[in-house]
Amino acid sequence: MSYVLKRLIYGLITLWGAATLVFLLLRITPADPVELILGENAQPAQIQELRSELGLDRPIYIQYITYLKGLTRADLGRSILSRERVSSIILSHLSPTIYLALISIIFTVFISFPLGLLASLHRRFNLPASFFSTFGLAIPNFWLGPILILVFSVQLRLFPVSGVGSFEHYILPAVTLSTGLSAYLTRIIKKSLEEEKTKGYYLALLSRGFSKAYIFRKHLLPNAMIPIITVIGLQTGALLTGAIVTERIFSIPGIGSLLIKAVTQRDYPVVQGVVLFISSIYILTNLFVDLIYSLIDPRIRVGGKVED
Amino acid sequence: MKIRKSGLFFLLIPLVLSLILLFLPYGYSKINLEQRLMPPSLKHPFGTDSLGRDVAKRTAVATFISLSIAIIVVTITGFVGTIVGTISGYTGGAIDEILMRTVDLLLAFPGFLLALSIVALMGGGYWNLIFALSFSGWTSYARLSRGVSIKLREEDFVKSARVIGASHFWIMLHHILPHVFPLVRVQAILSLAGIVLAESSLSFLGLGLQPPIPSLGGMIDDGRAFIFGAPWISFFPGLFLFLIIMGMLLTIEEANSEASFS
Repeated sequence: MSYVLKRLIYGLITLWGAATLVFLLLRITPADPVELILGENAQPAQIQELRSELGLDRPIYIQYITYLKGLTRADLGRSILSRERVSSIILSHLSPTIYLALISIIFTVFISFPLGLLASLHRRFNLPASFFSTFGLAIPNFWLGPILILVFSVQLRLFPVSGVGSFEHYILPAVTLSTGLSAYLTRIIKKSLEEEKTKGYYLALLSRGFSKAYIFRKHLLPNAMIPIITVIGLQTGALLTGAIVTERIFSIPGIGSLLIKAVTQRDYPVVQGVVLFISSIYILTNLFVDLIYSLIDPRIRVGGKVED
Repeated sequence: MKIRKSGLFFLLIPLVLSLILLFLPYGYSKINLEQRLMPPSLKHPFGTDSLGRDVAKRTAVATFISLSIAIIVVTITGFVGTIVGTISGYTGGAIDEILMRTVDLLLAFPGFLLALSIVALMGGGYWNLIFALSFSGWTSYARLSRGVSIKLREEDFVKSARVIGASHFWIMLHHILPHVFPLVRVQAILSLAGIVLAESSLSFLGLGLQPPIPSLGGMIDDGRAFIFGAPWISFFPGLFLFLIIMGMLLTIEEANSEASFS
């Protein structure tokens, strides 16, 4: 069986596992969602009605099968409050989050690659790079965001305070979100390049008279890219969860705001849908990263796993 | 393990300051509407919030609450993860398979999202927050200790112990765990900063610690509405949070490089 096929099947199993975990989480909570939705003064008849409407009166394995069947048709149920389909609610909140994520990724790559490369090439960039990466990792984005608003929106009046609409609206949120990510990525880039330099082939190539620039371009960078790409893949998780916080700071009506709103309104089908949606994206990105991996590094395609 | 002093210094600033500020003669949730939104002064070093509560006292209390959560979570996850990983790696077979598939499943989720879902469903509060943050946190310890146990299982000293009649439990306790423990300790210090950040993020989102209990994240959220007129409400808790995390990160780096032999 080819590596790609194997990885795809594994990805599907993981998705199924994630869906099961979300299903179980909603069932093992001590609180009865129906009572929470209707409040304390609900009539028994009302409770019965909502229970059967949500399918909660049926045996748990039937609930589970209906749930999985729905998922195969991208049917995540309906919102309890607005009666809309959860899938269409998610779609309508998707574009701000996508913009925010994309701009943040671009910022992250443009900050961390030059900084990480410079730091590994020249000693004098070491201090600024490590200063930035420690500082960036330590600063909580929900503290950085308000400070940026205070300085750039209120004092300097360069950017809008909150909301969406134009590219300018996304600059401060993207800076907020990408600070932590690029701090981490800078560190990884620097570390993995330095690690490659300690390997035997680097010294061997140097002693055979290849120029440093050539070795860097042809050997160091391609080898160092493997851990870097893994980290970028794993960072989608941080990106998506960071977006939840960042969207709240800048009042961006994206997936994260939707999730928090649904949680406070106890709209469980929406919570379940959004959690499932975010984790699916996370799983799919990691699947995608693994596949890219096999393109970059032929050892994985041929020999199975690379020692990690 | 050697601990880097500069990191410890950063960590000590908020800790010592909090310890001093704890002596301020205000209740951390004492509402005093006549004193609301007061700028920092000698009487209120960090000012007061929209309900007239002393920001300094609240920040100090929140710092210790935050640290207590992080330490409890690290203890629980480290304990559970080490036991699961050691048993899994040492026994192998079906038990190993089941435990490791569970770990894979939990790692398929972004950890923060999982914690968020749990507090969203169970409600916030101190112990729920600890449960939520521990829910998937043990997996990294499990993987770590499993790896060590698998290697040690085949070592001669383990086999010899078995030959002279030591029970599996005895071997795990006396021959495996002492080798697992140093790595677990490093991992524990490594994960502290992440837990502090996750806890305060959840509290910022209104899902973590519930009022009137102060939390650094929750205070930053409270202050957002007054960021133009009274920025101190958000600024000081944020500064403390920043210093705590920075201190933890700087202390760790030394630990990290020492752990790199594995």
